[in-house]
Amino acid sequence: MKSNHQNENVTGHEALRASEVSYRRLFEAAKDGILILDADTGRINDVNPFLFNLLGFSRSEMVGKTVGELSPFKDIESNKVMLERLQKSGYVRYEDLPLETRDGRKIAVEFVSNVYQAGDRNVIQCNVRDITARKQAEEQLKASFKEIGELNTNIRNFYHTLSHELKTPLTSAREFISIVIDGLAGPLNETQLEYLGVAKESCDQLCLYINDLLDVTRLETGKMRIEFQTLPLVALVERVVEILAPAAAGKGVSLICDCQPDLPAVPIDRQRILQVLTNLTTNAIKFTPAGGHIRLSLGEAPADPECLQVDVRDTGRGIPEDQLDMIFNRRYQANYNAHSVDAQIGLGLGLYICQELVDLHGGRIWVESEIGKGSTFSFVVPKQAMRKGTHVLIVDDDDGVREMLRLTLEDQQFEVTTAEGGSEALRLMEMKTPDIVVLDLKMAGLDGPSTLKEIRMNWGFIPVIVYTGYPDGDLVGQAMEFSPFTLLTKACPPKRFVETVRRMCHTHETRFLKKNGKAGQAPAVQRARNHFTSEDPARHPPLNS
Amino acid sequence: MKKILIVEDDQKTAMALVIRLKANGYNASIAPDAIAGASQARAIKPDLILLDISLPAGDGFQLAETFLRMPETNGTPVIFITASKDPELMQKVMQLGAIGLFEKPFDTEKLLGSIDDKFNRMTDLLNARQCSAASNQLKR
Repeated sequence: MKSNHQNENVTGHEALRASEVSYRRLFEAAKDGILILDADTGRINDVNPFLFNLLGFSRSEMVGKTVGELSPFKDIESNKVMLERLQKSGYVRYEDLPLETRDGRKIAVEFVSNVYQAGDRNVIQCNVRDITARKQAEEQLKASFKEIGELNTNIRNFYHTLSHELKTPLTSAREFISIVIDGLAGPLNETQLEYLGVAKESCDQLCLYINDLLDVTRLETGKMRIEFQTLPLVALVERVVEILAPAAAGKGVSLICDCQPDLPAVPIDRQRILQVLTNLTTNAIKFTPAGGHIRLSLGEAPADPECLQVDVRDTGRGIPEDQLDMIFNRRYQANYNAHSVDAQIGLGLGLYICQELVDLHGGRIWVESEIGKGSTFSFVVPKQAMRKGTHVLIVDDDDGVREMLRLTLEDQQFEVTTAEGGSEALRLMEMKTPDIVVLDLKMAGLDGPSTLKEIRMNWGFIPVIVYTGYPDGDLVGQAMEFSPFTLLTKACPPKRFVETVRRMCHTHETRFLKKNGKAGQAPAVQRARNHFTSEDPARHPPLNS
Repeated sequence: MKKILIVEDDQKTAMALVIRLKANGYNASIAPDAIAGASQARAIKPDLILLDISLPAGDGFQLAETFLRMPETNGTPVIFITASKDPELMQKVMQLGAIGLFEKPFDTEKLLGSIDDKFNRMTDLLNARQCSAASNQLKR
């Protein structure tokens, strides 16, 4: 019995010793600062190498002193409060405490302390994390936000200037040519008339190119506005056939229209869909030789009953297979054109613009082609788009980010509310449930994950975009508990941001509105666990979705 | 002869418009900026105003508001001309009671067409009023 007891004691001592050794190792090697204070006297019992090196002291210079006696903590007013609280309650937490090291370097630390009992005394353990690099990254991020904002304004101004400066001289050039052609400046012979006709055509061509350039600028700065109206698409298809029939006939190509009857009216921007149809049909005419046929057909999309589909089928020369994927790519087009037999092919922005415009309608465009047989360009548009004035709530503690997102979304006809933090967001949501929430993660007060938890508990599956500068951070992990959400990394280009918001509204509506009758009243939370989508697939593959 | 005031800072475009309008039987004059636009309008009391949106010394919208306030031009039809085609422009233009918005480079035939239409309609309206006044007198 006795020897057993002794053995137990010995083992106990050994275990304790082993634990102490491993604790010591951790303490010495930690990449965070650790400070052990006597809870009664406030004097430093111990300090690990990371911290004394960080502050520029030696261990012996720190041990035995109170924190207030050390220069990095001494002169800062907020730190005095912190130290008083530390000694009084033993618990403080500072997310961002500015300190100055002995050699005058400014650093920022996260400071968390707790009291615990060690033997017969209370000690306070303070964990100090150097967040200077993170802070700098944040500052850089803020600066780049500002820069992007300014750049956006510059581009916007530039496109206004471009539009004005290019179109004004073009207007007078075209006008004076027309005046001469119309005989207002005296009689002309046939050759003169013919040549002036060419000049006028070139003016018109130039005008189309300028409009293409402006459209691309608008698309790439997220300033393209789609004015949805519920319209019969068939009227637009017929209109394009009517407008382009003379051009087709002039080339000896037949242009026919084949539309399914009784199709519903769909939410589209009349001008923009006309632009897409005109572009696709003009291309078809351009690449179809005399005697060929072009057929524009409209009907329910075979692959998706939620959409209407338009096909523009030609019997032209077709597009090589290896180029099909790239044909909607803006940069590629220029190349393709350089090697093309057609000298007069334009800027090649047309298909890129078509793709973007169809995208903005929530649709999709693609091409199928066979060399020597012809090509079929097809696009679909949803029968039901998102409701007008979709309400987006933006929750971010950074004024700049909030303002920029608000401007971007309001530009696209969204109704926008903003909140500086989680608590304010929840208050606003109680007054009016938004259609979609854009949520920052790292916020003072109620942070992103906690806010998301509340949202899931009270508003079910309302669509959430987590918009964070730290897609790899701990907070994303915490937020995962309350998925689903879509992850966007700061600073996301405005265009992609808008597209994501639009797509999420659309998906949510088709998924929930129809099944449950009412948006936002989604079923239990648990089922959605660990389902999230990332808009940055290269960096964040969807986890377990 | 109907008088048309062209408020347009690009002299070449304005000249081209003058030639066109004169060929169509209108009397046309040019104001190169917003201030000249207001003073000329007051002096010549135009029957119609062609108004560029971006102008030196105040934009076309401000000038249109001035026209609404001035007794000489209150009720004068205004057609806007613009180089940029933002959809919101259309709304603004409608709010100001304009009868049209043409984007540069404009379709001259359409522009002249809508001017002709406006005057024809006004003439029709006047004729109709005279007719109804005459018939009323006859009834008495």
